[in-house]
Amino acid sequence: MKSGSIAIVGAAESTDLGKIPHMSQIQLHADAALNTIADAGISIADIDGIATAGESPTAIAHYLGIKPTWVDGTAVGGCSFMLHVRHAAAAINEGLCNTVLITHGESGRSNIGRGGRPGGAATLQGQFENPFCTMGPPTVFTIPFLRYMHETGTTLEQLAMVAVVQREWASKNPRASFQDPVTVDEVMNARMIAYPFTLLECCLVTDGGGALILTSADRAKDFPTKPVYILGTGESVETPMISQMDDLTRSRAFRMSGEKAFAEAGITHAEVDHMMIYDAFAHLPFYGLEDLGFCKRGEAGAFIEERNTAPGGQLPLNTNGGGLSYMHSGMYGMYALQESVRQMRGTAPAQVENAEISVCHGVGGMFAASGTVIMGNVRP
Amino acid sequence: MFADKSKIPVPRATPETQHFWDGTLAGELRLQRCDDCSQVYFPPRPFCPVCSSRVVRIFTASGKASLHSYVINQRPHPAFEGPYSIAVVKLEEGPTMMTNIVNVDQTPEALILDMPLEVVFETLTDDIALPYFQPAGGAS
Repeated sequence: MKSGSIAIVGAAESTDLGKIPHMSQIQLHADAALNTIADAGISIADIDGIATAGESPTAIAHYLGIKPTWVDGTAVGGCSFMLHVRHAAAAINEGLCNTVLITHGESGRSNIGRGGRPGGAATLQGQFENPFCTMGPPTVFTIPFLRYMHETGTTLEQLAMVAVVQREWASKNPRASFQDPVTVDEVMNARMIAYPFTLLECCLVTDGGGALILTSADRAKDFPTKPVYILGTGESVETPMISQMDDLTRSRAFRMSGEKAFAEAGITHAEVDHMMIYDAFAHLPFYGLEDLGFCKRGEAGAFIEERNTAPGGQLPLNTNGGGLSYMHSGMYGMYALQESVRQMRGTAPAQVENAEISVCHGVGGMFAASGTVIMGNVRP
Repeated sequence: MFADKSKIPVPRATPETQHFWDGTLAGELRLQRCDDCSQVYFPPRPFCPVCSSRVVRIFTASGKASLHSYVINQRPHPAFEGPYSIAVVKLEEGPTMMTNIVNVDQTPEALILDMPLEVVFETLTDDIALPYFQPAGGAS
C-alpha cells in the first residue's frame, strides 16, 4: 500500500482488564469500541467499515448499530487484527469506506457468552431466536415473506412463478440438478415445508465447489481466457437475527451493497444484460430486483410473472437455474459468480446473446449480509 | 400445542441480558430506553445502538404487540405437536422480536397479520421463562 496514506485516529482498550465476569464477550467488543469512538471524538454513525475476529462482523455491526459499506471477518487467530489494518488500508484507499472500526473482545478467562459457534445458548441467536424452535433457513429465512406480500399485494402464484421460470433456465443447463419443467400448480402443491413455502420454493441441498482467479486488467491480456472486468462492487451487513431487520420487506444490506456497486460501475439499470440474484428461497429475487432498483416497490412479482426474467425476457435472471434448480450446497454465491463469468465470456449453456454487463448479487446468512459484483467484458 | 417442553432450546443469560430474563421469570417484558435519544431498542445492550450513549434505563413494556410476520413450520419438532408458527411480532413500544404464537390454531386462517397480541410467559427452568404471544384478550 502507499506508505503513509492511512492513519489510526482512535485507539482504546476496554474499560477493565483482567477479570471481567460482568461482561459477555460481545459486550467486551462493544465496550472497547465505545471507548475508541469517544477517543476519536466521533459517533457510531460516522463508522462505515467494520473488521473483527472472534465474533461475526454481522453480529458486531448489529450490536453496535453500524451500517457498513465494508466488512471484514478475516479470522486467522491472534494476528487477525494486523490483517484487518492491512485490509482496511486497502479498502479506504480504494474508496470502499472512509472510517473503519476494528474490534476485539475476548472473555478468555471468565468464558461469558463466548460466541464463535453460532447457536450457543448465550449468543444473541441462542437467547432470542433459537428458543422458538427454529429449524434452519427454511423456517427462518422465509419469515419475512408474508409481510412482504401483505405490504405489496404480491401473490403466492407470483412466488411460485419464480421457481417455474428458473426451471426453464435450468432445463438448458446440463449440469443443473433439476431440469424438468414445472408449472405454477405443481410448485404450489408441492410438499409444504414452512407455510407458505413449498419444497420447490426452497433451495436444493447438493455438493460442489468453485474457484476464481483475479489479477490486474493490464495483466489480463497475458492469460488465455477472455477477461471479465470488475466494473463495480458493494458489500454490507445488517443483523444475524431475521427478527431484527429494520424492515422485513426490504433488505438494508441489499440496498447498501447495490448502491455502492452501481456507483462504482457508473452504469444505468438499462445497460444491464444479465443478472444473478442468489436465490436461497423463491422470494429472494423479489427483494433483489426491488432493493437494487430494477423494479419499483412491490412490482417485482408482476415483473417475473410477465416473463421479463425468463428466456426471451429483457432481464435474464438466474440463467443457470439458480439455487432452486441448479445447485445449492449451503453457500451458493460462488455459483452465481461462475454463471456471470460464463455469460461474460460467451460460454454459458443458456447464453444471453451479446451480453456485456452482468450484475451478480448475493445474500449471506438470512438477509444478514450482501455482496454485489458488477462485471463486464468490455474494458472501461 | 406443546408436546414436550423439555425439548425447547433453553437460552442462557449473559450479564447484559440478565435483567430481561429476570423479568420474564417475574412475568414482565422488560425493554431499554436511551436517556439521550429516547430510542427503545431490543435485544438488550447496556448502551444505545442508535446514539451509543451509555445512559440507558430498563422499563417494563406493556406486553402488547401485533403479528408482523410468520411461517408455519411443517417439519416435526419434538417440542411441538404438529405444525407450529415461528413469528416476528412488533411490540407496541417499537422493537420486533421472534416468538411462537400460542393459544390459537396454527393455521393461516387464524394467524392474521397485524392481529393484536399480548405476551404470556412460560417457565422452562428455575432460571428461564420464555415470552410467547397469544391473541389479545386471551385464548381464541
